[in-house]
Amino acid sequence: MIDLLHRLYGNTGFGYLDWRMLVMWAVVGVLLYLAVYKKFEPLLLVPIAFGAILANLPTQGIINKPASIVRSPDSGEVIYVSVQAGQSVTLNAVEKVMPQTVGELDPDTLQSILSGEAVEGYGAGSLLYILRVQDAVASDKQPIEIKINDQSFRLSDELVWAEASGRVVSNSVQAGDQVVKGQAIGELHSDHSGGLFHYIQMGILLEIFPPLIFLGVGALTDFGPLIANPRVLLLGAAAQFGVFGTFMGAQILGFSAGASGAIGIIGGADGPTSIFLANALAPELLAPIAVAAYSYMALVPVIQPPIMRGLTTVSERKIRMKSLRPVSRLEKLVFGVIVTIACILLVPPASPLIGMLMFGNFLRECKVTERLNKAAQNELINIITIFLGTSVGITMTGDRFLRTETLGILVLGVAAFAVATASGILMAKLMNVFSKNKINPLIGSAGVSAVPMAARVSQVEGQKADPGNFLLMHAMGPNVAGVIGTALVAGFFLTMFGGAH
Amino acid sequence: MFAIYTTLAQISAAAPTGSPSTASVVVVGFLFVLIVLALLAAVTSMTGAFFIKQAARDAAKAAEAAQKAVEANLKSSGSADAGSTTVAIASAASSDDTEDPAILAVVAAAVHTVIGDRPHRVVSVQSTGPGWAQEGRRQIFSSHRVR
Repeated sequence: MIDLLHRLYGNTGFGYLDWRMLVMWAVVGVLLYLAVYKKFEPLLLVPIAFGAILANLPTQGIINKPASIVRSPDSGEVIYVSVQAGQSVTLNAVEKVMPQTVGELDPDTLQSILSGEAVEGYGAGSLLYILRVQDAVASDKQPIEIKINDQSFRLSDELVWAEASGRVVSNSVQAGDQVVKGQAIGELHSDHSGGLFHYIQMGILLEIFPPLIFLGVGALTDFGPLIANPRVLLLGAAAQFGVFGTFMGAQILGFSAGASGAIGIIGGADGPTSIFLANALAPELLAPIAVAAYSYMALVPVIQPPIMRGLTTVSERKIRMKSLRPVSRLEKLVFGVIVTIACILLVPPASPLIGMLMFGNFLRECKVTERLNKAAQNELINIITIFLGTSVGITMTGDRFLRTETLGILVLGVAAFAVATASGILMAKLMNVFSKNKINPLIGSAGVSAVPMAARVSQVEGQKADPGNFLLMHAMGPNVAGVIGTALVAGFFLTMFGGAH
Repeated sequence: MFAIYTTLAQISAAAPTGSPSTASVVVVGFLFVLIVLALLAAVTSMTGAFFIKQAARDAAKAAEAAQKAVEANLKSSGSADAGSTTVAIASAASSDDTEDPAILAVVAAAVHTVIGDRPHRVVSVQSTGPGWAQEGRRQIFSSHRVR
């Protein structure tokens, strides 16, 4: 009887709970509170928070990957092979971020793993190979070595772990073989296929979801205010200084160049672009970057107003702008084609974002594809939002999220927002020095691309100074300019730091 | 612009051996975005100027046609019955709205409701711009509580 109860308890998930999961439950509670009761970006925060709940439970059949071919993560020499055909591999029930190098692993733990023991948190038989990476050999002047079972390992030697439970069906390398990055070195098989979110997450990993979101955003966006007053494109450009300022801050804090770019783009206040860039340049930081981007977008009405009031005088906030001229359908179509051609020619890596944004807008403005336009505006963007939000949330495991670098990203993210807001306002004030046709500096803050929230904040702040002043449509100009600007910056970072492209 | 591209190429070329300095990435990147969007603003302004001229020409032609139609109508219907409501001109403006017979009927009915049986004639219906769209946006905006 007691034995049966003990076995029953062993089959429940309670044994897998750890403190990180409990902390993440609290984080999820905060996100849900902001979304449900404060109504801060609920369409995004609810899927993200619910995905995060699933990520921090000992789930089965949700996030596990299917057993498949094992590929070398780098070029170098295989110095240790622990797999044999027929060997069984069992991963931890709860996903864990595995150490990448020998130096990140405690020597005793490494010894136990190499001896074939099942070590808690590392599964059984999950360490498949150890590689000596070519670049590390070149840079290690005096390599620190540790000896385990008469074999020497350097701290920079790379560990290759199984990504799924299963049975080893083939091993194609031996110790001493040279391998190149991406080469198939073994294969695992399992009768179980991967979990639901493994496949949904492919939309992020293959960079499908962000461009599709942009298609919907394009179909929802009216570029008329921007075309009627094209000089506000400069406000969208100025706000991108927040991205570059944060890039600098991240570099100072010791993040790599690619990771700094991915963190900096939070200042663009554009969720899909942040995910797109983080996935390409710093996939390991995707969760905190996405959460920071969407949380701060939700907090635009809290973050921006004090900066807006601090940088403007009452008389500046009362400036009434000239009514915008009506823009014809043909002019909007021409604008869409010009932006597509110009931006893609200048920054080819931005083409998935810019191309889909302007395609969505063309569907809207041409007036002959109403069904497609409505599908992009509603069904498509809603379905992708559900998948994107939950896929981001599912990456928020406590193991991955509760790190000091997450705190750094959150601080840098809010700094990025503040600098971007200030840059837009200051650019508007600078333009007023040279222009007779004055711009209300409050619309400068809408240069961060949180559409249409930032424009609504400009409207609200403008009406506080002058209740009869309607700035909403004027602010939509810099707002959509910010979307184009952020996509350009993302393309620039991809050009500079390569990533997966 | 060319200078920025040259610098960009130099930075890209330097990337495999040594990362570009933070300052150079910030300066070049920001200037790049600023210049690209400024060029886009210039091109949009130029196309805008073309479309504004085109619209002015179209409006002038429409006004001329309207004037001619008014004169023609006045000649042909000088003996129209008092108390009747007649829509004489429907093509005064180029907007799609004002060419719609249903809208003209609604306008004529509205005029009749206000003026009553006094003799009158609707000679021109012109769109005043995107007023309805603005009104719609205003209503949507004011129907939500903004945080």
